[in-house]
Amino acid sequence: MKKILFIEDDTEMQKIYAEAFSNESIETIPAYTVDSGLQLANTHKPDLIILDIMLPGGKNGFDALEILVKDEDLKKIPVLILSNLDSEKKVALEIGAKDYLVKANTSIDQVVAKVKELLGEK
Amino acid sequence: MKDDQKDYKEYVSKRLAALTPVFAKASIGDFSDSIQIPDEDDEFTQLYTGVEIMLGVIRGQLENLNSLNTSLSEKVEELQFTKQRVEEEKTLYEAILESIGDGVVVTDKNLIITLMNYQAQLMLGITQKEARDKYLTKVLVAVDDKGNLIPEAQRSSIIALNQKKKNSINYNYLREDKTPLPVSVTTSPILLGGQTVGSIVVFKDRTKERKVEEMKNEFISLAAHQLRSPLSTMRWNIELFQKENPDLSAEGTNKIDSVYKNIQKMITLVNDMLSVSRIDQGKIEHVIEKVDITSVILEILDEVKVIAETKMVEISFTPPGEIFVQADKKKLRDVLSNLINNALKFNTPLGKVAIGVTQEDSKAVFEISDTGIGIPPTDQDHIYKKFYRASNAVLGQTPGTGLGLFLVKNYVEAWGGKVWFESPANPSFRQKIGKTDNPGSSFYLEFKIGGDSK
Repeated sequence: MKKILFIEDDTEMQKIYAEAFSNESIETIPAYTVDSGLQLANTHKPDLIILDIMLPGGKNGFDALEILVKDEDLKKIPVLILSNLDSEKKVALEIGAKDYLVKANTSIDQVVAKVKELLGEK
Repeated sequence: MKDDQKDYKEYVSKRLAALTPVFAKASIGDFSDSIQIPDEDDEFTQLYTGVEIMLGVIRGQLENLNSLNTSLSEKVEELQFTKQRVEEEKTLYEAILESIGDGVVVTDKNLIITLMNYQAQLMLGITQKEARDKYLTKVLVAVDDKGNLIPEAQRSSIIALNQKKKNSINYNYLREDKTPLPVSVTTSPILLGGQTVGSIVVFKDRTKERKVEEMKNEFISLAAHQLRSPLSTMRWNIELFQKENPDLSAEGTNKIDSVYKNIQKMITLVNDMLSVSRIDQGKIEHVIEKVDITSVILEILDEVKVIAETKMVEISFTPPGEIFVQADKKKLRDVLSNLINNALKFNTPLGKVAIGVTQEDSKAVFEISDTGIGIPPTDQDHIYKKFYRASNAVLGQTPGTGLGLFLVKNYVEAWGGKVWFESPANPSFRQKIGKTDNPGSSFYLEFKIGGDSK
């Protein structure tokens, strides 16, 4: 079973991800801060990381992305940015994100489809 | 004989004695005394009469002279008074000009500076002496927010003189020390009997307004982004709920659909607000490339099919084949979707919409005509203003944010294109579809053809 790590501080959002992907037989691992997310990434080695940008705890999504792309073990894992900021796409893709979606402008079906696409690509 | 002579002499001097006091007075300019004309009828009396007539004439002329003198001095007095008044007014005007809190620059008809008030000198750091007799745009150097020089043709003063009409524009003047001063400039031509004799440029410091605008934009941006979080959670929850509950009652489905539609509306509003605030901040980025406008139209038409069917509006479009225009692809979608949705939204059942694209040399023109409610003449000057909604749109309770056309115009112009419209709609369109209840409207977009990103 494929595993996705969600680094997202909104608990409501985490619930939705869990529900949406349980229908698809994909395991979801929630992380609420960058630090715990990186830790979980190392232990679980997920197939995909979904990352928010505005996050609590000192490090934001960009910091996480910078660390991920430089980490020997983790840099192979594709990262999909799911954020409500729409002005950061260019920067995120430059750092190394696979894709960037604005939450409010995307349906949950489109999120699932994009995840499947990225998982298949791997 | 000798005695006779002596007697005569005495007689003469006696007869003439009456004249002595009159002559004495006359010698000092007093002609007021009259001569007593004697009773005798002789040469002396004739002489007296003659002298008296002469005196009379002199008296008359003196009187004339005097009254002339009086009116002359009255005139002089009047003139002096007027001169004083003129000077007072001049001082007053100068004082007014100097006390005005805005910068004022006056030029002749060739835009040569003739006057610059104190405030203008203070704001720009240039003295009147330095500015005088120089060409206006050489002294008042205008730049945009990025520091690029404003072309002559877009300068307020040039426009005012060309159009013989007052206009107002915002840009920045460069101060003497080359720092930009955000200003709102109003130039009026000075017209004298239909002839332009000069211009008057009034400018206001916009530093504070700019600060407030910035704060407003930051607030909108923050609020909009924060609104998106709960909106996306609501959206996704409803999407999951709809999927997991396919057997909902009709009423339940209706309610859920209505909530979903309204969430979508709020998401659109938030997106529009963010776009507007970005345009206001000059922060909008355009990725200009070659985009096939035909395929974009076909994509949108596919999306709006259901709306058109529900509204019973027929859309006609004969694809002209690939036409590549210079635009930002994502924004071009927004622009065209906006106009197509408007043509449907403001239409009435059994109405028509006609879309066409034509290519001519280095330009392509997109045209969309509808049989909708049209745009009343009183609203036509305002429809590109943000948050402006035409009176009949509000009256008919057609939903909208009043941001669509503002975005359309801003985007298309940023790609070097043009936007215009007519209401009632294009005559040839109206002729083709026959008589309708509504005036309808036609919108036109002109694009540059092909080329690469620049």
